[in-house]
Amino acid sequence: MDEINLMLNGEPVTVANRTNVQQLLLAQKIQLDRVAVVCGGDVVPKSMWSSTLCEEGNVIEIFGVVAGG
Amino acid sequence: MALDDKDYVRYSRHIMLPEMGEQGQQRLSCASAAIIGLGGLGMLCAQYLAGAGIGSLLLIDGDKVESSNLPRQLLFDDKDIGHNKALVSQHKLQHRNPSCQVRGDDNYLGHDNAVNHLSQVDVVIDCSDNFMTRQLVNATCVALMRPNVVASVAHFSGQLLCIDLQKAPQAGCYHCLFPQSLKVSQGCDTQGVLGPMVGVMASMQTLLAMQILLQLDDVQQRRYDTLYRFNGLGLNQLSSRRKRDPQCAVCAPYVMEKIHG
Repeated sequence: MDEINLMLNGEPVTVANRTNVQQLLLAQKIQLDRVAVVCGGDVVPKSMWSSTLCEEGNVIEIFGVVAGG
Repeated sequence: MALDDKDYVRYSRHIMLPEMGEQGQQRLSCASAAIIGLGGLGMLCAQYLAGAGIGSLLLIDGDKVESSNLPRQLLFDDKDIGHNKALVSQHKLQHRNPSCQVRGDDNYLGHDNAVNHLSQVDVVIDCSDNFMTRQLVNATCVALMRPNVVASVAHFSGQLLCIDLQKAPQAGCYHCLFPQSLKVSQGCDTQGVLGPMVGVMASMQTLLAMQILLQLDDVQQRRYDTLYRFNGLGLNQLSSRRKRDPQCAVCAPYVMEKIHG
């Protein structure tokens, strides 16, 4: 399987097999210093983005920090 | 602190809750909390906790009331404009709830006063309005091993999490989720916010804080490792499991010490 399909913030996305989270963000032109990532309901800490591979059917959520009060 | 007859009447709707009972109300009357920031979130948390019969509240905010606060910060009115939020809140809440010891500090939380303030309380409630203060509250609570209930809001987005490295070291801290290097774009002063949106987040934040103070750990085990994200337009909430960043510069030393003794 050369490509895998996943959902990114509710939208279908196709990426190359063995794409990691960091590569996914870069491919989607998402600024790495503005977001947190949840994959399959679990937060992926930033230091683990490059070692976490996307898998077929993954549901990935990208969001920024909210700081107001 | 034993409850008297007036307390039984006043707190009867609490006491009839099986999860709370007389023991829970007594526990609350001996408990303490610090609220960082007396804006939209903090002024509501403070009212709920003082009204609920918490033993003592420490209110910390160097900010002054402005007219643009009044549509959502309902503890304040026109006469309060120009006065310090922590001190105005202290005065009003102490008057309404004489059994609660309310203290206000009209300085912002900083490196000079954070440890002293936050070491005095059972739970910290982060209602601040900026990312740097949130990082300071987190680092201080991690070092003190204090539970920290964090809520934030801007536009129609709200985030809520509870950090307690004693209860859930595997979930890490605020910095594991949102490292200090992160750039922040969502604040009320640039994106706007509606009062009820702040109220929803403050209410859930206070509910979490009360659960901690009442030690309702058998009821909701996941509160310490969950990030809640509330969307005020769709009225939906997403829950995600938080994970500790093994390379976190803030909590790694404390968590390793806890895990390995």
